[in-house]
Amino acid sequence: MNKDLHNMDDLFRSRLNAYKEFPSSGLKEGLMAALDKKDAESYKRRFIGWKRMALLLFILLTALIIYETVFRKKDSFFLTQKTTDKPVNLSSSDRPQKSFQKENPRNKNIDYNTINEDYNAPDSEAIINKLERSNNREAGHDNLLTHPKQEDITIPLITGIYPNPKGRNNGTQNRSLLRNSNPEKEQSNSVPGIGRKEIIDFEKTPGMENIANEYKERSSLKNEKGMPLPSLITMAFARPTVELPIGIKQRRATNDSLIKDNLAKNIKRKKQNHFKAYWMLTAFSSYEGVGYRLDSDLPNTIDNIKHNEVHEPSFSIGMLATRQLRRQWGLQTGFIYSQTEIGISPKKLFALQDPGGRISFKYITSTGYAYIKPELSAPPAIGDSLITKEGKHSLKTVSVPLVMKYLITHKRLSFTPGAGIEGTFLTSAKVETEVTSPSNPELIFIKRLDGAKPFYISLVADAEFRYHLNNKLSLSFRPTLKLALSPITENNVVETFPRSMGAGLGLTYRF
Amino acid sequence: MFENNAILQNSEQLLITGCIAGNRNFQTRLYELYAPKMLGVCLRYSRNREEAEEILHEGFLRVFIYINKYKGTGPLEGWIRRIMVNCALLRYRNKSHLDPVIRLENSGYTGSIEPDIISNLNAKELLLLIQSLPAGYRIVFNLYVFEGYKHREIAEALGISEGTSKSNLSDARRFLQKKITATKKLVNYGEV
Repeated sequence: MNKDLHNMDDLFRSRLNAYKEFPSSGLKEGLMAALDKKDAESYKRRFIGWKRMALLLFILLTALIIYETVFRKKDSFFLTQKTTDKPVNLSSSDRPQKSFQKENPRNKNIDYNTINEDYNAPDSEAIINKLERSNNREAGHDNLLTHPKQEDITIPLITGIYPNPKGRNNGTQNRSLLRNSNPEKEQSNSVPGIGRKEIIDFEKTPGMENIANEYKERSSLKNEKGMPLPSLITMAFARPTVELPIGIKQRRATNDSLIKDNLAKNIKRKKQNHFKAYWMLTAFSSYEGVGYRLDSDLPNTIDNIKHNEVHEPSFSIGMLATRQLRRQWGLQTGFIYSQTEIGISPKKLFALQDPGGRISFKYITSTGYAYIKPELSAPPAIGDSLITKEGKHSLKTVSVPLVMKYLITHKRLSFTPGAGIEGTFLTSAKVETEVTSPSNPELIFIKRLDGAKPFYISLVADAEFRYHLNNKLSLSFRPTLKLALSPITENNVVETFPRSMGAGLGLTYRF
Repeated sequence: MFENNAILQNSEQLLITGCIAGNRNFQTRLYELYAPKMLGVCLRYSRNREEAEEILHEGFLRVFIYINKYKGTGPLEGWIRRIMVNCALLRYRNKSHLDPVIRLENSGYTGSIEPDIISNLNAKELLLLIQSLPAGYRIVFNLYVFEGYKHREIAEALGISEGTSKSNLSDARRFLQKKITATKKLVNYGEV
């Protein structure tokens, strides 16, 4: 029996191994439709990376703008000192010294409570002038002051002075200051020194610990060795990075010169590097020549569509915000509203079954398709044809560009080329045409096109030529070029990649 | 002969390249070339033509999606056939709980069949016989007889034991024997 069974296997194998049967015709169509669907899904996935990148850039830009405008901290150890009429702006990191600065009679015009986070670059020249004036005053040369309006500035600096030439008792008093935490006693002390509270503040202030420690040591040693009383004057700007010299007279001169050198370097560096980010707002309108690149496996379809459709110039208006992040580099974004009109030649439509199961005529454009069912005398059958008159296809889009700009200026003129990406949202796609039926001509309005994608991404390159009317306002001429990276269509007979080249005029306001 | 093979290989390579590029024309050509054979395979694994066409549809969809992974080490037809078989197995795994299991232990049939009985049946009739098998038996029979799988491989593919595979094959054979004998009796009766 087993032998028979194995024979049966062979017989089955020989008879059925090469068996063929033709599948039904609908299976092929179904398979191709499924492949189209898969392709559409893969297209979506293909550009998801771009979308994510655009989103990331947008988030980064937003974060950058928020940082620049709200959270950016200024240089910590510099004071801005403009004129005596204006309060000095003190950065937040200088706040531990605030109490002393208030009590210092030399700084009576400085309002340390007015903390302005947006103060400008530190005015180091003023600091040098103050230092010179301080030296001159002590030398009895007040009349040599070059900037009499400027305020005294104090820096943390150990120096040696004779507070009272008649005796050394003041030294004791001064030393007692270190041990005495009573503020009243500190204030009543005639020595132009510094109170314990302030010493503690200096101890806690990064970079000031050494000064505080050195002051303490010298205050405790000076009497025994007959040295002049060490005193601490404070100057609220950059931390002194100089090594204090040993000699007293030399020390002062060296410190001063080193500080001057440092400050001079700072001035030079600040003059070279200082740039304050600013905003520019541009309102513009432009005309663009619009076209598209069509892609399809059916070359005849491409030819038909290209032959039937004529693009009219597109009109755009927009508002663009540019953040000038560096002297040359800026980032631009905003909103652009565009309206594109496409003229469609008369065309022949064929009746077929729409997805809803009804027999209707398929109207195909470069940006999508629609099923129309005009009121004819007899219901259409599959394969029936219909001729339409000329049609008008209008597209409305809102675009959000993200463009990196490079600024080149020459006197009143500036040239700003830029490149980036642009996300475009299709807000409306309409077709208006007329069916030519001798008995009953009918206007057809298609308010919504199937097969049109609501979003696509383009590559943008533009250049702005600006003429600066004044510091704030400028006129701009703005040629642009846009090339779509993703198609505007999905599940249409063609894939359409719009492109445009245009020029616009705008007005830019800087703030 | 050698030149013909080279031309065939080139045309097959061209077909594959076109399909990888997603060109519908090439995909259609590939489908038209292999669909009849593959439908024959799918029919053996299914109960009826509709089910076979579903398997064929799913199989060709996979073929077009994964054709870029075809390395060209074996014939393309074999690769496509393997995909079809896998689709059928997947379908069987997903729906096996819906198929009734017929136990043949007590059927009492122990007779033998003559080879000429089968040779008298045409391919379509044989196919109908296979389709009439319960799903489990049908799959095991197909894998063993047509694909040349060993019982161990069948057990792995279907997630059953080797013993079950052997038992299913044996039952499938007896089932077919019974059916063929019944067919013979009917034929004889008709002749009389």
